[in-house]
Amino acid sequence: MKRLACYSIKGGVGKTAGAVNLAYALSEAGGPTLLLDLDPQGASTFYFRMRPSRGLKAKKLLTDTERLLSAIRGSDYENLDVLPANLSFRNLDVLLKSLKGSRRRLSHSLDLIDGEYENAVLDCPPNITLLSENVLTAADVVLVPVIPTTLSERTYRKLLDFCHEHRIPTAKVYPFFSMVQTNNRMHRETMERLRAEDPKFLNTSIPFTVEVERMGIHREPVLATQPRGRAARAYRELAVEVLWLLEGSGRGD
Amino acid sequence: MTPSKTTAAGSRRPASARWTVPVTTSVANLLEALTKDWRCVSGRRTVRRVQYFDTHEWGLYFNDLRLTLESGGLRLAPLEESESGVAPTLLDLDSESPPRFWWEFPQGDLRDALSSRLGLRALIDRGTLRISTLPVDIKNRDDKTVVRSSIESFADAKKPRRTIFRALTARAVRGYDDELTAFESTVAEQLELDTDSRTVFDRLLEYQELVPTPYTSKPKVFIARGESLRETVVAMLRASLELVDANTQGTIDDVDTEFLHHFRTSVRRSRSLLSLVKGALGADIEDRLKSDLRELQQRTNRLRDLDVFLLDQAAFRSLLPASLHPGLAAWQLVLEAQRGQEQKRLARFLRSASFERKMTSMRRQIEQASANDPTATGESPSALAGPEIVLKRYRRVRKRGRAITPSTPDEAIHDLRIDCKKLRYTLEFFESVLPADTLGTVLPRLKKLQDVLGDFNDLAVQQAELRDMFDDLDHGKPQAPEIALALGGLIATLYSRHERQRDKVLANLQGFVGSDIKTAFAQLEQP
Repeated sequence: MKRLACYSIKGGVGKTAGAVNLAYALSEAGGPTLLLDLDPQGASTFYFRMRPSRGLKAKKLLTDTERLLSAIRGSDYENLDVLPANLSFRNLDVLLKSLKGSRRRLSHSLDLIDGEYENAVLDCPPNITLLSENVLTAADVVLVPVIPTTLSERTYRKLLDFCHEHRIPTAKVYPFFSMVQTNNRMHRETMERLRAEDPKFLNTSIPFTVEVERMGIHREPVLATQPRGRAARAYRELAVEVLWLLEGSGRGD
Repeated sequence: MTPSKTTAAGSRRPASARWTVPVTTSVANLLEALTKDWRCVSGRRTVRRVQYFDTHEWGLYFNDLRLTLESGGLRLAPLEESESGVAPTLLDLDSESPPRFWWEFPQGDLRDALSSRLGLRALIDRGTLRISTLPVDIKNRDDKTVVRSSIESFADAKKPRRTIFRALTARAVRGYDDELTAFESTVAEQLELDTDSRTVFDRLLEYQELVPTPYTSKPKVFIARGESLRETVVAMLRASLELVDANTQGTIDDVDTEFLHHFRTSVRRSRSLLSLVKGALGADIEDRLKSDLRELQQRTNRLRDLDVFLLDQAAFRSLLPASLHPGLAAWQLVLEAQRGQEQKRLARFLRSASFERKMTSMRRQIEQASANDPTATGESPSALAGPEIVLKRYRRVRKRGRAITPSTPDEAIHDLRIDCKKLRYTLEFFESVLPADTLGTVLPRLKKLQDVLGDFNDLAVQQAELRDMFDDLDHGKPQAPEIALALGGLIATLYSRHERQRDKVLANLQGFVGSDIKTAFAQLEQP
């Protein structure tokens, strides 16, 4: 099972939209996929018309195989399941501190479902905590959405600093441009400059579109509602790039 | 009523259920009824054609399997699995119909799975269904799909407008098992539908009035208490003639070689019965029957010989060096041409009025024998006469067998083979009046001995037949020298095998003429 995380310190950068649509695209192209909604706000869960799980408290997520498995729900789409969020996930951090081997806890939980899915996509809460370390340890590839603005760029740098501080290798961290407005000159210039500075930026960038904004109304991935739209095409291209990275990440299945 | 839930262990297949919908209930009515309790969103209707295949003997069905062709893809799946299941396509076909025999399939899992189940039998068409599926997603108050259901209408592909049966299916969405349970109650209590435990294939067969019955080329005739020898013989002959009948059409249509083989086995069994249980029907009738049966046997000899040679081609190839393979291939073509002609000739006979008359006459003879005044032999009870007849055959096998030494000529061994065959037939005829432990001891050992003797005989007969084939070759044809080379190679190989086979015969024979077999047969002796 390949493990992909969508991660950002800053909120509102298209992280959840990215996780939801990439999970959908991977389930189309790469086999059975599980989206894990680790964000206590449960936006991913909401997009799939599900309710937060009642039974799966944070502790169970990390310690109870059966509970973890029985909390998984089928989405309305073939090959795509979701582990809904739970409000208690906001305590994941406190909890992780209390457990042994805290850095690898999440990774162990993922091992439990390893045989069942080809891909796991983690939608992570926007902050820097012990959970971040867990995500960075557990994932094969960590995608960071970056809006081509100074503020968003700064939070990306902060994430890299955090990694260096905690001796987490940044090789698996890949930024991509999100919510891009191509008619905005500042966006274009920022992208140009950042690509020159950091060659790790992925080729595909996700445009800012009304379709994505409307996901909250449709409660479906844009790949399902507007499969031929601009956003859907961009997410599919991004998925291809991500699959390529995941293949190269060396986790044998 | 509890719905038939199926959950495959290990693979986390979702729970599912299936109900029969009366054909009189239209899809629209059913949907309307469901909508009273559930939010239903129907998807796009799809139509598929699924064609089923099995052998004359239902080799797949009785192994709980079904082979289907859909959109050019062949699938082999457990009978129980839903037609809309996910059995993987094992072979994509270029042609409209699958290969007939397992050995014509490309190497792979499908071929391996079929080989043991089909044997020498051909795959035949067992009907085609037109399946129209309307997916219906059952939603909760958030508009989330919680049960995937569908309404399936099944029709005979030849009469697509008439629905034969209809079904409602429901599959759980992971994590929403409670919703499935609730849906099941609605269907059972509000719609009052019954769960459907029969497979789709079974229903198609029922519609076609086809009943898979285990097939055997050896009819088991149970001998009733106090039954006379005449009654037993009559019952056995009737059963044998029925088998001749059952295998005639398949032989005419040339479906596979087993039809002719079983046709002949039944004829030979009847002939043996008449000669081994002499006098039960009266000499006149017995002679007439024997002569008719002999003719049937003779008319089919040549085709069977050619069948055997063709079936043996793969084995022959392995006996010869690659340099002789071209000759073998050329010979195979000659054989196939001859077989084609011979098959047509036999089919013409089997379709003729003359064959029909012969069969009618034989049936009449048998009924006549049963109506006539019984002969003294005919009147004796089978339960007493049977074991005596068996013992007589055994004593002959034992006597002849004990006389065989390493220097005995081939002919004596061939005679022993015939005696063993007769013994085997009598044991089978009177199986139901013989002690089970005698049969249990004797039959496996006898079968083994017969196999060894059969191989010994085949190796000798084939050498002679190959020699005949050589003589019959059109030596003017350009391939003739190559074929002659292959035939020569085969004769030499078969000769050396024949010599080695003799040792096996002697080894197996020692066991069979020994004291434990003698003790087993002693149980048949009358006090």
